[in-house]
Amino acid sequence: MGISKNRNALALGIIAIGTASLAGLGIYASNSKANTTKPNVEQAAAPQTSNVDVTVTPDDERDQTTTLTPNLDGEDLKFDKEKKTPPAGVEPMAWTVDQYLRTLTSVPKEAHVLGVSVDNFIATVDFSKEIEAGYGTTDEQTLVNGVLTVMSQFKDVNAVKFTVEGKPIDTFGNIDLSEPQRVLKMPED
Amino acid sequence: MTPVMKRWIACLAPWMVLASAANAAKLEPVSVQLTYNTPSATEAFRVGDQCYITPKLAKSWDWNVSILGEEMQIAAEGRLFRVPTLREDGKFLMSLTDAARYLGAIAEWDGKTYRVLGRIRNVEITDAGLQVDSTVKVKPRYFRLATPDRYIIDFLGGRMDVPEDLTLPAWWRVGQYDPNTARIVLEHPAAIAIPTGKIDQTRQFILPLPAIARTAPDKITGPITPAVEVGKKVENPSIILALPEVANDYNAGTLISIKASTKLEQAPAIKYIDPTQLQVSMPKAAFKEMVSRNMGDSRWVNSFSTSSDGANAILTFQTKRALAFSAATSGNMINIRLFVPSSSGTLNGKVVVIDPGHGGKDGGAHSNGFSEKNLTLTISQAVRDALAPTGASVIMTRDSDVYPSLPARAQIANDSKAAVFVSIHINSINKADSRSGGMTFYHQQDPEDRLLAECIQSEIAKVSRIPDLGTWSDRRIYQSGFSVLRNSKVPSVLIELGFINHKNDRAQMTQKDFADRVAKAIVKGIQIFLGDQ
Repeated sequence: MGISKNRNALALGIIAIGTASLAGLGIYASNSKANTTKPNVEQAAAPQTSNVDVTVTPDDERDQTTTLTPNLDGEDLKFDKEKKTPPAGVEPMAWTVDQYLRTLTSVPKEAHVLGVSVDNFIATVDFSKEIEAGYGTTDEQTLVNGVLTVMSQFKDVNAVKFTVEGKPIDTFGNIDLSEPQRVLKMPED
Repeated sequence: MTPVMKRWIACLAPWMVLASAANAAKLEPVSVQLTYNTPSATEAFRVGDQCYITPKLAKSWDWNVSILGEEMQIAAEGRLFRVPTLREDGKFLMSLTDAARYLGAIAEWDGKTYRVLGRIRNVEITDAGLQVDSTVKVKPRYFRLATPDRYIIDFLGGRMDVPEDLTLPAWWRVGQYDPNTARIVLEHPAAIAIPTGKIDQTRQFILPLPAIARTAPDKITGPITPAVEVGKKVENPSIILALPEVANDYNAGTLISIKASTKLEQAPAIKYIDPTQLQVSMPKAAFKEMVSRNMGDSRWVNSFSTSSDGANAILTFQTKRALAFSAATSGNMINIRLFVPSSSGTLNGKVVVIDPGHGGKDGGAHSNGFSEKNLTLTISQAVRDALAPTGASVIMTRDSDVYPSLPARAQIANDSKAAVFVSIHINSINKADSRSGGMTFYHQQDPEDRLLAECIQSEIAKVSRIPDLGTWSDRRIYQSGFSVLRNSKVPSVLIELGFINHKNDRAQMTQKDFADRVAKAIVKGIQIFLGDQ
């Protein structure tokens, strides 16, 4: 078999441990953000009852993000794009990935993004436990490659690490997710 | 028009609102392909899962349509029937879906195209010759192909749907050339004597046969071959190719060289037509001679033929056994290496690792109460049972509802020095009933994996009653491929038998005898790969 199949298990282990600890830090960071500078919509609507200092940017001043819908008309997976403005007070990366999850029939409705943190060009996308629902190959490809494509639009994100409730996962079925995956290019207009 | 503007206009001009309400009905424009007719990109719409067309389009097919209020009466294909009228967007539309049902036609969506095809229900050899019956008119055309000599009858606009127990002599084969074309192949030296041409569209086709076509030829080879039509020349080829020559022939393979008239910028594309037939295509090139002859100096190649499909020079090799291939260009030479895989010989005494996909915490694909992990285990156990008489020792990566990690599964193959590793899966896709078919994956461009995939997939396609989507590189799914294929160092494939959320595939895969049929095909495919026949 080809050289491409040979891998260094020791190096893999080190990367896994390294990214696991990064992921842990990432979750800590995003949780603490939720309590301070990134309030949810309800808090934003009633700032006087909250002891958090809130500023809400009007719709037209906030950055739009590109949301994707899988297009499986052909043999190979493609995406349809749409520009949308994330609601006030939400974290745009997590929201955009969540928007994508909602287009997938194989992903349970309860599954969502708990948080996204970026460190050294690697985004750790942390999912709630419902994401581990069991996938056939094309559904797994649609989930993983969709997230890798959605994340490519954000500055400073070159690769994505998938975690579930803070713990690194190995796979959703066929792909080796033990290492961060390089983002995939957005389809051109 | 924004909603605010709509409200303004509503106050001013109520009759315009009526017009805009009618416009709101959702008619999605689609294309229609009726059998061999030129596809129509207008006059057709999708509503839910049905296809509706205008009477104008139906009339262009010589259908006689009368609008009778709520119904339309249609005279077509020698039949008279009524379908409901749909009044939408100021148009009178008829359901082509209903019409296709009355006609007994095959009707299906392919993306934004609705395809209606003649269902070919009967193929038989009678005293009058070859008789073929379709529910709707199809257009037959017949021609000859070389290496091996065979006679091809295509039915444009037809879909082969003959009973499983169809009895035809072994030198006759039926199949589907492409989604719109059914094909019958007579592989026989007598094929040379049958005239070629086209005849008018028909529902019943009878081809008189020379007496010899009823008797068996000396040798019968491979399955139905979607080969190219001989004789379409490449216009102004920029590269002229000499005939292939054996540069080196050795115990485990052969090196074939083709000399080109100029330095080559790209390597040729090579694919399997079946495990012992390879097709090489070279764009913008033409062979200086169109021939079909034996490859005398090779232990591994029987014969070759040169031809063209109008855009590429085509070279077809018929090999003595299933061979892996690699190709490279160097200056003005194309070098094609055909070789026996590293695992070869009889199955007796070899290790085969069977990997039932998913398991335990990972259920895999699921639909209508069926779970991938259970179906793959049942099928894998049937493969183990089918391997028992061959004398192979079988290792299952799991034999119950547990989850070994993906690297652990590949490690079992590596540690046991398995002859082959076969991972068994069932697919699922975002929209139910949108895709049907099975495919076998190989890793990246690995030549041995690819050959094994070809051997197994072509055997499965014969028995699974699920459409054949061919062999795929796992790179088409992920840049890194699939974990089990990447990590295993022995020839390895991953089979996707069908889509669990497509009703036809699911019905087949959950049938009682499916596991046994497919298991035998997988074993046969492994034997073809090993040269154990």
